[in-house]
Amino acid sequence: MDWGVAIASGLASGVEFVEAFTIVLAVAAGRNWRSSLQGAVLAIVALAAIVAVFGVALLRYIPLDVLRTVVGVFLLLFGLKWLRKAILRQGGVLRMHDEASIFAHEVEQLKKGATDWEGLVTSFNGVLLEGLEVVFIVISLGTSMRAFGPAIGGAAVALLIVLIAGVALRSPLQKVPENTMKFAVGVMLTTFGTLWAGEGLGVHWWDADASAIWLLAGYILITWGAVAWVRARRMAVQPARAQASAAGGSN
Amino acid sequence: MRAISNFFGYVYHFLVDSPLLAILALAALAIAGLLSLIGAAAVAGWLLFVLVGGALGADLSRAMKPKATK
Repeated sequence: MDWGVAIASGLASGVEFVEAFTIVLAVAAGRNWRSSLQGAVLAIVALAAIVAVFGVALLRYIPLDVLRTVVGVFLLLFGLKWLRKAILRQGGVLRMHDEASIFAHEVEQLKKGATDWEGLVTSFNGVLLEGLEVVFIVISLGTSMRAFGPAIGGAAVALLIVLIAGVALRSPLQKVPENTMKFAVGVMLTTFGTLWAGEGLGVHWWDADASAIWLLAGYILITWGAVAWVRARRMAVQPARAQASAAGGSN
Repeated sequence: MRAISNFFGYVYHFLVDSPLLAILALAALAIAGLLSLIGAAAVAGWLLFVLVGGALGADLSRAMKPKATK
């Protein structure tokens, strides 16, 4: 047993699994579990098919940078869309969602067997990209060190650990208010979108994948600042509007 | 032709709530890509983050502008 390969594969794959699982969890919490898991399962099936067709030659045929750019742009646009709505809601410009009516709507949709396509596609993209990166890690380490068993074993252990942590996080996440969750999802998708699209376009991030932490912290700060600014701006605009309408009414 | 236009319309509404935000975000990515091409890949990351944050700020600023009343 080549422990060095197993540990290297486990650590590198673990980072990718955490990224994929973060997206699945975020989509599940922000949209619904059903669509998020459907997207993840479809991505795993697609990955299995890709690996079965290409095998080890995968490294030559899949342009990872192109895939990173496409998925990154998608996540960035989607994340910003969610973040914008969450900021405007938190700032009082858009109405907060009525949790009871959303719950009733979700139950109705589930009864009909409806799929939330936004959630499904986001989850699919995240899992497919990160899954492909894990496959690349395993193939690279496996072929270069001639140790496929330990490389696959290391990745499998990392997956198991991430899955256990994810299942443990599931119920605390369900207690978080909806708009707070939208914030978290928007910030995370924007972070990963920036990171991956940037990587695909040739940007050198300061700490490679660990730059996600700095980007996340930065986007959280921007979001807090934006909510405070929107609130202050709304307060400033509302009295002026009230005065204008009162003046208009008295004429 | 109609099916293609419907498809792109669907993709557009799927991804975009505010055209300004989407255009600014894509412009930020294009600038970062260009900087990477000319060898400034280390600066491109910082700039991309700042530009995406700026795009969000610019879009929110536009959304908060008082609209003209009749």
